[in-house]
Amino acid sequence: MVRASFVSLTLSLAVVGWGCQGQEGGAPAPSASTPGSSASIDGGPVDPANPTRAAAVTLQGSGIALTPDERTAIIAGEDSDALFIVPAKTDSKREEVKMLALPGPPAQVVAMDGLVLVTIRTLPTAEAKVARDVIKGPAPAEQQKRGTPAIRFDPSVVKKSQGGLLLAFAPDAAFDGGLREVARLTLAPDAWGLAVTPDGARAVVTSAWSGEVSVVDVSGAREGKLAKVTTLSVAREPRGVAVSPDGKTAYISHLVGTSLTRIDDLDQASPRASEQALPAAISRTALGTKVNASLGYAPVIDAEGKTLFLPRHALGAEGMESWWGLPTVDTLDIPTGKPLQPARVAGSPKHALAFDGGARFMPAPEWGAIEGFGPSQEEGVVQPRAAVYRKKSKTLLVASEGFDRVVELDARVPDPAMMPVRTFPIGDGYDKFGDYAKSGGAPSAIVLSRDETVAWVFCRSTFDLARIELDGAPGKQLTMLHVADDGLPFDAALGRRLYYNARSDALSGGLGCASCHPDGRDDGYVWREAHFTQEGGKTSRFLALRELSKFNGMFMGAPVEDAKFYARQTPMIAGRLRADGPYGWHGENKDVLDRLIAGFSLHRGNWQRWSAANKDVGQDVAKVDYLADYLRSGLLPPPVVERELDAVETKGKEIFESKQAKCTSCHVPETELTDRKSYELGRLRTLAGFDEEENDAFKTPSLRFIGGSAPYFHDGSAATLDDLVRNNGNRMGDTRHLQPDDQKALAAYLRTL
Amino acid sequence: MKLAISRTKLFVLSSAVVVLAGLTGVAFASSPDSTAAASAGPAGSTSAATSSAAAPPAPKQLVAADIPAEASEAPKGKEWESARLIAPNRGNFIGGCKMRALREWIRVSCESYHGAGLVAGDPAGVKVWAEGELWGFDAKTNTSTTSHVTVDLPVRRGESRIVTFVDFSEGDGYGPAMAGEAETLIVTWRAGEAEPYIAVAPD
Repeated sequence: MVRASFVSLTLSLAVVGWGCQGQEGGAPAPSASTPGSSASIDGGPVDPANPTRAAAVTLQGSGIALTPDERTAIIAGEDSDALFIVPAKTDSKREEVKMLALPGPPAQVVAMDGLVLVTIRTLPTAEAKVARDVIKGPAPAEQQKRGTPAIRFDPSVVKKSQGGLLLAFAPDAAFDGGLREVARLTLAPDAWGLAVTPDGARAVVTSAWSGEVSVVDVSGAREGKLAKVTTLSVAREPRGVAVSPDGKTAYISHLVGTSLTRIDDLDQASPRASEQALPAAISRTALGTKVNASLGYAPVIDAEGKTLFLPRHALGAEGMESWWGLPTVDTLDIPTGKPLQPARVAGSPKHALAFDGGARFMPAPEWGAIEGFGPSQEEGVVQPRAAVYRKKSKTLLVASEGFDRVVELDARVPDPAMMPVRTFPIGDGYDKFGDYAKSGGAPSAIVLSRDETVAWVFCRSTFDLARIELDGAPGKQLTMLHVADDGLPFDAALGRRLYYNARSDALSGGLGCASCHPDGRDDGYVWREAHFTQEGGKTSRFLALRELSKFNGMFMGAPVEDAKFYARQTPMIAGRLRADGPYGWHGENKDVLDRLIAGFSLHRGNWQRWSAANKDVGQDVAKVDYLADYLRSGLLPPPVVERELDAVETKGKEIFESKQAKCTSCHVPETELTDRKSYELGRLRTLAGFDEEENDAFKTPSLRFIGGSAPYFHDGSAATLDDLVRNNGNRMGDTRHLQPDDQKALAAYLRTL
Repeated sequence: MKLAISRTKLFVLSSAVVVLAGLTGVAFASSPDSTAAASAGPAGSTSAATSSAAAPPAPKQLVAADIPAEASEAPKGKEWESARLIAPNRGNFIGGCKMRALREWIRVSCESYHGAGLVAGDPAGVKVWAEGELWGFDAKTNTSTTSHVTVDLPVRRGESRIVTFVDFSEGDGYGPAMAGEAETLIVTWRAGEAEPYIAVAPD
């Protein structure tokens, strides 16, 4: 840990300026970083929209950007509240990495000629800033010690935000060609995704937790002017932004659900938003069903503007051992707005050599091998986190967060996830027990050089920058640079690596924590907690769909007996793990560690039983302990603006705290809005595809952050808080006396918690 | 037949079932089109592949110029003998498969796979059949015999189809017998694109 040097760098605000490094022979490089300077650095292209400027390498935001002269990489160091500014060359040294402190955690960057735009997820209040700094622990020397306890933050303080930001920086000669903030615009909290129109006039910014998209006039940013054109309310968790080549339309991906948001009239005074359907993995979805999707971080549009690619996770897509579904790249034909993947069709021909009369083995409709699963997980994408389109090869490069690799996919097929062309392993030095990478872990951002020969990839869990020579000789394509150390205490830092990692057989087995709990939030999905018997053995595990039990590991195809499938919506965990306990749906786990061990048993199928016979069990539990440290100190809660309640919310608060409604008798405000006790409430109607609960005593859930975690109840049967309140009656407390306006007021207050 | 298949991609058979299969031997699947199976099945394809004594030229990719503007009937019987070998645009079969094209129709014949199915796309005109033995052995010639799977499908503008092949293995050592996914054939011709595109995704 070199936190001390970090601090000094931060204070100096020293940065590397692009276009200002000496060239060979000592001649200064022509400056392209000064506003208005002549363009075409090193023979690079000129911005067609403004011939006096160099063209940006890309106008689509990512966690990493290259400056127009491609000499500098700018990395959004979200976990360090800083930009890392790195010479983009093969032999960069750690000492050359500069750090620019930011007022909050950055998410995405766009680097243009003379202008860098950065989204900041939250500008914390002074109180929250202090709390966030405290989490990083004591002095660096202390942080390095194994066993350093995590510092449990108070989510009600850490969440306090003054809003999200769009920051504009310009090169500043006074700081040796460094960056100088020239403008900032306050947006809704959790500003995340970013893209700029080809003419450089407008930026589109998503605010993930707030469910908003802002269109911003950035044409005057170099002169200190950022102006909001409009703000649009959209569906949950808007994330990545892809702008069409004509600059008139933007597509927004969502972390939750299958549809995109389409922003039309982007160049007009009143851009408008609408839903763009894009069903997930329709080539691998059982007939007559639809599957949900998650992890829609990175929409990409091809060079011709004909195709939109969306790498994500299809919850419930069929395949071998696909208890969780499968990764997919869903493709949209932009001119028609239709999906490009062919759908499965009833009566499709399939045939195989009969075997044993076909009675026991390979019954035709059930035969998974011809039911449509794609390429193996080992070669494919796990937890797609970032992507770029490579025009020269018509491929996609996708950062596979869970398996620490970049996978090149054929972009010409309807589902590129089925057609991996090459894999670039980035992770290295894997831990013996936790199987997490000690370098190159969790690639989360990618940018491609202008000539498409080099990909730069930032690895979030190990703070490394990978440089991949795409046309280089195999085995000599990768160079790594450790950009920074983890700012968390030692144990929590290890827990961070486990959180993103999908390689550990004991802890993840093909899908990391970050898949279902991206950013510590939830995937909006109702899973099946399945208990069944196959081949005489009892199995308990989560399944994305009931039907996927037939794809259960080594027992694939074997009959499923004594099956029970209980509905369990993925819970949000960021900011909800401060209490000692109990945890679990029924309060059955005394503390977080106990819950995690029980949870891994469900995620991995009888994990405890297998590990108990293993001498390494102690190591596994230790790893879980690291993970718990990260969950409690590293997964920060969503930012929420501190403000006075309006009249409707105030009325709702009064109802919430009233003796008649009795909400606070269980949702105790002083203890994270829960009493952590279990109650037998009136049984909810059992939904189709699930089994009746055997234990109706559910633990009172915390209501913290409930406004952003729809749907509700363990079975997701309430789509909105308004629905929940309207239909509650006296099941929870007593809201039978509430008039429609009162119900709306109560729901409005709940959304502020 | 591949002997090493990822554990994550396998069906598992009980030993008893495997032994039973070995004893019972042949288990033919019926052809979806008896005429086609009799005269234009894998045997016909094989003859086309071995008709030249000289080394054949490397197969070329299917291009739009090969394909008539109007849809045609699927080739029948000996028509396939005039089909030319083609190569995928991306990827390769490793299961002894050969791909031929005639007008807008392609036939994929695999000598060591045991099943196939249309995963997605319009099934009109698509035919799939399998013939042979799982672990065949010809006592007269003292040689192993193999099974075959054949898929016919059209290549049409604005359409995409995905076919998965299935292989079968005795497993490693005393490992269980298994059936699992082999390559995936992706045939697509996007509306507005000049050429069709055929890819073979790896096992």
